[in-house]
Amino acid sequence: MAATQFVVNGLLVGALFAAVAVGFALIWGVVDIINLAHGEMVMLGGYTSYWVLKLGTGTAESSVLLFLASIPVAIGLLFVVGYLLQRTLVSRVIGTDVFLTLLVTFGASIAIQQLAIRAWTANPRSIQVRFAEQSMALGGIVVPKMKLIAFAGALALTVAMYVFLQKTRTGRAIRAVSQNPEAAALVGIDVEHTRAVTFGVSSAIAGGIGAFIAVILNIQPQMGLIYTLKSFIIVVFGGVGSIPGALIGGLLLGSVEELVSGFISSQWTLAVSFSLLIVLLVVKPKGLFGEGAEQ
Amino acid sequence: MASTPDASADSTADPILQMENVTAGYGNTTVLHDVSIAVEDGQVACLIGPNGSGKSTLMKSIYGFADVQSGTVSFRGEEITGRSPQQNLANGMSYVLQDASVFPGMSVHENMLMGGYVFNDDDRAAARAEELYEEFPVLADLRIQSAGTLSGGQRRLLELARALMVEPDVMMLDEPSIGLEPRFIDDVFERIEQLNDLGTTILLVEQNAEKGLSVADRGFVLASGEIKFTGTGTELLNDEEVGRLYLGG
Repeated sequence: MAATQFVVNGLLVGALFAAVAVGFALIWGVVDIINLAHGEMVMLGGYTSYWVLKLGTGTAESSVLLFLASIPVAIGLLFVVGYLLQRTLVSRVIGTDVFLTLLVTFGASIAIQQLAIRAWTANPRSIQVRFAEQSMALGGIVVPKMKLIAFAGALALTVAMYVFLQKTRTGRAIRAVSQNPEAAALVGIDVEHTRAVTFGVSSAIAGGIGAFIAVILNIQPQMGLIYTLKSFIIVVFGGVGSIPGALIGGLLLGSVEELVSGFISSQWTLAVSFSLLIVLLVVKPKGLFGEGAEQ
Repeated sequence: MASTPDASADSTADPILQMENVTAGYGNTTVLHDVSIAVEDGQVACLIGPNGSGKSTLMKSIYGFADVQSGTVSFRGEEITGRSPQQNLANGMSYVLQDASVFPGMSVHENMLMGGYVFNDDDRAAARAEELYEEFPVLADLRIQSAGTLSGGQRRLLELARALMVEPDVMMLDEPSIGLEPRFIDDVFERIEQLNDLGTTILLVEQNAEKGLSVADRGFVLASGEIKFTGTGTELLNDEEVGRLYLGG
């Protein structure tokens, strides 16, 4: 029974990891950049939601509806942050040495962290969402309501992005740039703008997830790195460029981490995750679902 | 006799596409030097010359992919120097690149829709694609197939059809026959002549110089980034010096 409970917990949290990783995978696939500042978008989204509630209502305690209403603000703001990050900084190093691109996004990550510490101190904060009953029991499994809402929110954001990429004109432009940037320019797509929109969309989703994390865990200026690392594991695990792969990778990573922390210790979660990644890379170097050009 | 360029770049009355004293390249590198050409409405013009002579760069400098460092490019008498591909497409100019330029992960139909990206209107793009499927029944049969799985000949047809989405007045084709089996080469050239008969002006770069010049109303010989000879296709084909230097005659 304990194992089932851990797996359920893992799936609930794993959907959040997956949604963050999907954005990370999108930038990697379309812009060919490993965005080491991706975790900072989660952090900024969390703070956006926190401050919207705190400044709007005077307290970081909120009803669930009010909290949900703060998420579009986080999404919108982080779209702008991501768009500008690409336009002003990352665009300068596209197509250069991969080391340079890592350095630039790593630098952006540190700068954002430090500014956040300046602005909001290093103390963890969280948003309290109150229910009459915090959890519900389903066949002996305890499901915290807020985690269930976050799970649904994360899935909705992931699916929305998938549909956006498949069905809209802008989504098609993003896929076109990913598959053949020169041909994309040929048919009249503004490639730089499209890359920036990709950064914006990825960051927006990360920001929305950050808001959920501010409720179910907590937020802190230096929390980003862990989400970047998890995204990295998930994307390599699921296969670079595969959105369904990232989704499944995220759910799997969440489950593994909860099982490890439940049965062994939470200190071991990252060690086990990375060991699994190494094993997988040896056994199946293209990831579980990586065929090279899934999207 | 074919004329050398300085014997009046081209004294045609009203060219649809014209380059005047264009020097162009990429960043600090200059590839074209003081190039002047003129293509009249309804013509097929063919650009020949050895590898690396700047033929692709010439087209790219018209379309906005290369940097025009000096001189002017005009289209229907209006200066378009330095305009973006978006603007050129919207004005009725399209371009087929030399290298495979399909989107391999998209279906044939999605590729066609991308050709109408500048319409900003999916319905209009879809309607135009339907018109083209009637002219290219092969593509109609392949519409849901992923473009990455097409044969070389099918891919070239898709590139041509996609470039026709905007109903261009001028089409630039960079080596449409390269890498194709002979039977597809004839097919592609037949298409080009058909298009031209329907009124589309064509500027062609062709590795197979004799083939290219034989369909051309006007030919240009480019070498080391400079126009060395211009004339009608037949004049260039029959010119002794052109033949010796560029046609391997």
